[in-house]
Amino acid sequence: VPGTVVVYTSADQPFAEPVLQAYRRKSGVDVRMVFDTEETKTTGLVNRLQAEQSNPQADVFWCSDPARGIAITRLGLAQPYISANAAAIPATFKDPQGLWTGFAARARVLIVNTQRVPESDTPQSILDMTDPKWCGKACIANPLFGTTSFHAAALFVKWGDERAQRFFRDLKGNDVQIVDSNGAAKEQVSAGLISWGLTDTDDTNVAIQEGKPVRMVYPDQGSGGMGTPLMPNTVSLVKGAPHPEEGKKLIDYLLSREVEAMLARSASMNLPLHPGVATPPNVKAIDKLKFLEVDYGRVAAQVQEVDRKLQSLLGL
Amino acid sequence: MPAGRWFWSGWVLAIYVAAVLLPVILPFTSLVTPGHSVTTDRLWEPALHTPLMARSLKLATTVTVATLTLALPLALLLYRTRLPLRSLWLGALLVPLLAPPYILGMGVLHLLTPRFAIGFVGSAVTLTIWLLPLALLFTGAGLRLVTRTNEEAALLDTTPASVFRRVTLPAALPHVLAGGLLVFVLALGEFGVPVLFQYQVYPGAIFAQFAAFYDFRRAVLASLPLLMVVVVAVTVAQGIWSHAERESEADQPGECVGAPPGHLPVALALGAARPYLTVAIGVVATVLLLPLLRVGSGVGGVTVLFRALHRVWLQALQTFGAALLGAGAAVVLALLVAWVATRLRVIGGRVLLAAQLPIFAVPAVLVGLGLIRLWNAPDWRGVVYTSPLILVLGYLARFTPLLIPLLAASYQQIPRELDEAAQLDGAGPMVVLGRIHVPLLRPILVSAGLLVFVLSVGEVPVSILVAPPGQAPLAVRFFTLITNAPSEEVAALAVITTLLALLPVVAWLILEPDPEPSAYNPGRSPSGSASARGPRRSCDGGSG
Repeated sequence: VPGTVVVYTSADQPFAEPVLQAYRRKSGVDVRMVFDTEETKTTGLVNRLQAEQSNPQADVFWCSDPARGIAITRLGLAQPYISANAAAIPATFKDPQGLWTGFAARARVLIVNTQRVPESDTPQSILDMTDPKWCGKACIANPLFGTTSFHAAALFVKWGDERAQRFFRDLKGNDVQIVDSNGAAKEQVSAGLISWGLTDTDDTNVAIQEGKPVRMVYPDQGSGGMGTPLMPNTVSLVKGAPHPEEGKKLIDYLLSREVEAMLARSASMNLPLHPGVATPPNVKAIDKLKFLEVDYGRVAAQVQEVDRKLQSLLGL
Repeated sequence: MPAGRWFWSGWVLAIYVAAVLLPVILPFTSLVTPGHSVTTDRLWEPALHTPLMARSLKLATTVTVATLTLALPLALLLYRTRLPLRSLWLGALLVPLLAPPYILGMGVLHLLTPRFAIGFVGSAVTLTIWLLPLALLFTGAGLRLVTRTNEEAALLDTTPASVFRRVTLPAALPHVLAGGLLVFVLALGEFGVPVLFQYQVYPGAIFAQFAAFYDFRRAVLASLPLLMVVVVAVTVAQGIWSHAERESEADQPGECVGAPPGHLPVALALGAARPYLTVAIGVVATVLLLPLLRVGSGVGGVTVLFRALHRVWLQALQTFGAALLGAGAAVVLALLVAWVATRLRVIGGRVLLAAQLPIFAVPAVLVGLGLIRLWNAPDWRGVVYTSPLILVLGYLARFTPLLIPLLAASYQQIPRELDEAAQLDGAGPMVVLGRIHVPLLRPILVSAGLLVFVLSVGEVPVSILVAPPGQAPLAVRFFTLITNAPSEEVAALAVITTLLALLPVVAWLILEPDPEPSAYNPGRSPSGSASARGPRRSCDGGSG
């Protein structure tokens, strides 16, 4: 049907829906949306895309993390499309063939309960998770899924196999709690059930805006620090999309400065990847942040191998 | 008659195969497609999978024992006594089943605190609270179908405790076992609750194949050990059942077993314990509701609730309609299959019945993928796939196998002599079904329908895979919002979903309260004590 576009998105519904509704108002196109849950709640949209491969129903896949976003390209579920609006996005955050393009990133951050951790004691690095003084008091999300899986794979790429495995063994030895998701990390730290944890900027910001007793820390920013990974949203044109032209127009819109500004202002507080997008004071520009520089394609290629290692290492 | 038997059996089984079996089996065909030969590569990695399976078995067994231990006394009080406010207590005890188990888990986590809840304890407590209503419904159905004539006859020469052990319990055993098996299967396959409490279980290994490795074939392979456990559990339960039947027959050779159901069973006298038991059941119901109340307390006022309702009323209506249609269709199909397997004695009927729980134990996500393979096609099937009808088909495929053993167990309590008498009068199979079986099974059919309705309202894994764009049911919306929507809105949505599921349950309890069991009167003869419901018959024609 002309004038229709079907978008599957794993971006959190509270953030993605207003963006897509704004496009519907602006373009008059009937935008049909399918939202996903957190990775550990259901098997989600990547499986749906894969199962529908013989008769695709979706035109666009908007993914909230590069792990799944790049996975669909590896599964042969995407077709190339290079949007003119992606020209200013740094090459690190996009596929040269246009199978995926990154925009509006989140950063990996520490969420710290202010009632359980005095400011002077605030952890500043993910390595603090292995410090015996935090034994049993810190948490990470299940590293097989979502941004945590990408973060883990990035550490394996950055550090090499031996050091990365030692780090995860140390986490286990220090009784770091493995909660089901980044959202659960936010909930449990906000409720004071756990002192601090590793999650994403959007989760932490939502907790702060709700008045929860938490503070956000960008880890590993000091001199000699390795920086923290950025997790861009990704968008891909689905292979065999029933409405490819409408799909391309929606991708152009999602990769616009306008959408990056909208997502930066939202509770998701995404970091724009276009240079010079005006952001609210609580959102760091990426040039003001020390981020872990990795090859996203290389990390994505390692995610599943790392997952298998972690599965055995942590008994998941 | 044989021609009619084959005709109806053929139709019913064809519909069952198309609606239930194909979606379940299609994903398994990937194991035998060319180029994908069956291998057992990494099917079982002892260091990883053995401890996971051991924890799953420990959790499922504990939850099954706990729910049955609680369900039996509760069902006795609610279905076999004249306890005040029975409908209210029954309604309250059913509520936890209406909520997504993950939500219950959040409540339990806050109430028990992580120090006590993390690990096995929180998982077991949450699943026990969630699944107790199922065990209660099944046990209650069994106790309600025990015939008054049998109990009164036995009471003439023995004590009530002995009657309970020798008559009541054996008669209710098929339902108790069916309920226990169902609880075991659901607890064994549950992933969301254990993961919330950081208790790693075997379904996590299947889930990881889907959600971390996107490997359908390995996910299908990984589900096989779980299905084997269910097959073993079904076999053990059938062994217990057969043993109990033999014991019962040996114990009471002259007993009038198989009297028609519908006779209200004997009420147990509570005596001076009545007020204490009323308070006790009130306390139990309150304790079981605490986790949900803890979550509901986050709504922050009626205004928030109405605002949320205003936003989702259309989705709520669609969810209600799809769940209602799914429940109706599942009850009709399950009744027909149970009828064909037990009454028309189709070849392989026993195997068909025994296969239902393993079929139900197939991970829901595989059923969703099977539905996509079956219905997502560029022909007329695509019209169904892109309409809300696909959700109804999903509920049908998912929950019909759950009802078939329940209705087959209920058929055990309808004597075949009724069918034979009707057939002598010239009634065909459908007339016997419609005029004799359906009226006798009506309370069970209504309970079964409500059960599927409730489960359909809360269904997520199949719905998220097949719901047409923009038409996700309420439970899916809840899970897509849970992470970062305002917590008040999420809590309001949890309350609305629970109330939606509660609506027909309340209507049922108000419109058709359970009939009070009547008191035992030793002065009356067993055959003269039949109630107004159900056909009368004397003990002389007992099927033994």
